[in-house]
Amino acid sequence: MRIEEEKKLVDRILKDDLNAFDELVIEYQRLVWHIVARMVSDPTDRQDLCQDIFLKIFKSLRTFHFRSKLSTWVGRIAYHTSINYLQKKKLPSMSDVTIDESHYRVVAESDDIGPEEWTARRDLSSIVEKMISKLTPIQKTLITLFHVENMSYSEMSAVVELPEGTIKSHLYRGRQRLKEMMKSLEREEIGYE
Amino acid sequence: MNKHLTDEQIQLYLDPNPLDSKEAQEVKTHLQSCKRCQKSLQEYRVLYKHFATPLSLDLSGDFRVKLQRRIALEMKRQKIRNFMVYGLFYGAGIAGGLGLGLSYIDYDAISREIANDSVLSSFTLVFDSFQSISLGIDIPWGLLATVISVLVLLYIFDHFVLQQFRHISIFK
Repeated sequence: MRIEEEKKLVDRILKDDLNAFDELVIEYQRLVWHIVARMVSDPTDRQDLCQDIFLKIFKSLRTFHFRSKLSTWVGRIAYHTSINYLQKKKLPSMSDVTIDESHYRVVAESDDIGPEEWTARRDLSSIVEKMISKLTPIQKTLITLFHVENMSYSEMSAVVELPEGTIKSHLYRGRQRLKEMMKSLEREEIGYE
Repeated sequence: MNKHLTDEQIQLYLDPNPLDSKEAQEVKTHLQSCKRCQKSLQEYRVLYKHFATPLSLDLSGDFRVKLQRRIALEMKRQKIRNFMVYGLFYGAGIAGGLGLGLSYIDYDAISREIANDSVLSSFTLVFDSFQSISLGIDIPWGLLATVISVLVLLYIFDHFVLQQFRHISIFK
């Protein structure tokens, strides 16, 4: 969404236009969901948290001055609200949680592949997802923002309110840890055979 | 480049545009001849492919309807809150102004004038009494009245200009 469109949308919301807020929800629900779903495992809690995040966005919209992109600001609220939620509930951030495979969409070109390949990819997808759940909240959030939302380092820095250098280091360490986990899993499988 | 590539170099090589062209070329050349780094690159490619796969959006069907209900309720609450805050502020301003004004009036002199049937001079006395009292009392009534007026004006400016056109507020 371009900045002019964002400004118009925010103006309409501030004039109590409920439909305009619904447009904002449609535009940013995926971003909010990506952040929440990577951190919280309980399906009901995920829904409630997403509701709370959008309500918070509505309440704070008056304080948004377009110093950053609206998506960055929405992401920041989603990230901090999720972190606060985890701290308040003293919950682990998705680690040691069984992942329901049906929650994850299999790679886009799945139409072109056979059932065996499809199952293999789904299994791999599920394994990688379980491994991601073992990362720290900041690492999994950054991986999501960088790879799924295609955010730049500066945008991610605005979302999680950390310097770009720290962002790069978290991202690098997160991905390296996942590679190590994958390797050790591979070694385990070879060991069993 | 004889040494093996670091994980960071491989990651940056796969990231969109983070390596300068010279470094990227060096990495590329090294990868052509090093099996170990090729394997590492392949492992990262698998991970990257998965990372880019979006999680399916699993919000309930009535998510937006529920949210709209909560937003509508919040709008009502905000209106009531605003009404109370503005009402309190304007009420306090008016009451303060009235109280201040009434405290300046020399009621004895006015009642004497009214008794003498001179309505016009009784009005003059109201204004005279303001002046005499403000000069004779230690409390800086003038300053107090100015501060209250400035605050009321600021609040009106905040409500009708800043909040409406700039979406910012001095008081929130």
